Amino acid sequence: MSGVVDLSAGAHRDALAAGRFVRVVNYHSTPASGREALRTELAAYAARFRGIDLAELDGFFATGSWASDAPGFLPVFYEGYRTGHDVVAPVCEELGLTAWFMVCTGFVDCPPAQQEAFARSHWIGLTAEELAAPGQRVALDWDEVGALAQRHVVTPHTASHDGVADVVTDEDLEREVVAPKRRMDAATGQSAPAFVWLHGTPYGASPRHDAAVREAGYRYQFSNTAVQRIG
Amino acid sequence: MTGSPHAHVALLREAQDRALEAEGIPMVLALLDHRATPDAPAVAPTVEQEDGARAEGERLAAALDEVREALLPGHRGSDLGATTAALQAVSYADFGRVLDASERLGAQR
Repeated sequence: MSGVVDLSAGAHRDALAAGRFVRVVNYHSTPASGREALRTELAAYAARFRGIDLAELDGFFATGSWASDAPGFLPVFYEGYRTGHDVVAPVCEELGLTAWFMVCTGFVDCPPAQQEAFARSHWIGLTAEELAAPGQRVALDWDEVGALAQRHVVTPHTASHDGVADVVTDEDLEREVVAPKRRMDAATGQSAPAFVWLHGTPYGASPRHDAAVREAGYRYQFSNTAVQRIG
Repeated sequence: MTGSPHAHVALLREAQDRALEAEGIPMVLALLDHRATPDAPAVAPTVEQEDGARAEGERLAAALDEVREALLPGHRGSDLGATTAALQAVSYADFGRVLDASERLGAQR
């Protein structure tokens, strides 16, 4: 594997011009009080664009073609909030959309009584609703992760919501890159397909981190500007 | 997408200065293929898409050129932050604005 990855504006431009792009809508907190608003927003996108699932993304990278002429999009939900199961999944299923959940596995592993502190320590925002009952579970649990994976894409966003600058040692790489996939695969019975760093750092920014992600068995890295096929 | 640099800065503000913790953030992402084997260097997949999809991509690419040049003329192409900002603005103009204000998540909170 070459260590040179072209992340220039020109590389992005050329991909767009060649039709190699996908629209995504990134979400974070989706509280229950916003369920109807979320449904309305996603319905508006779904009326204009076609939801893309993992098989179709894999198919594009295998063949260079989408399954349909209609523009595609991915609704992506970050961090691993409990509302992903309680709010997002029912809405997406009603609309026939595949949701893409990027989950901080350490948030899921954290005891509910500590989840607010974990969130406040790791750049995970909580809404007033989530703070209304101190100590209540605000993250997904592993049963919910497994259930979501039956209809949607669920994949790690590090364990601790860390960026590459926070991941220095081999132990850090094991904890934040390798172990999350192992834990998620055990919960879903699938192979977690993608990895995302905090701040959306791309593949190609750090050979050491790139190798860890690739060797952990992920086949995609999502960044701020690209979906990168890496394995 | 035409206008003065000020208009492009205004677009970038509109794209970024929203309740991003509550609203969906629209982005157009490039699909890049970095797979490689000793016999097959990394190449992007051959796209045999219909003219419409390619035309859509060419329109987005032109918009990216225009916004980058308007926001940071002559700036180095390797500045990923600048590429990200330009893509944010292009994406917002391309499909983030398709929602009416009443449809937008943040407007209802």
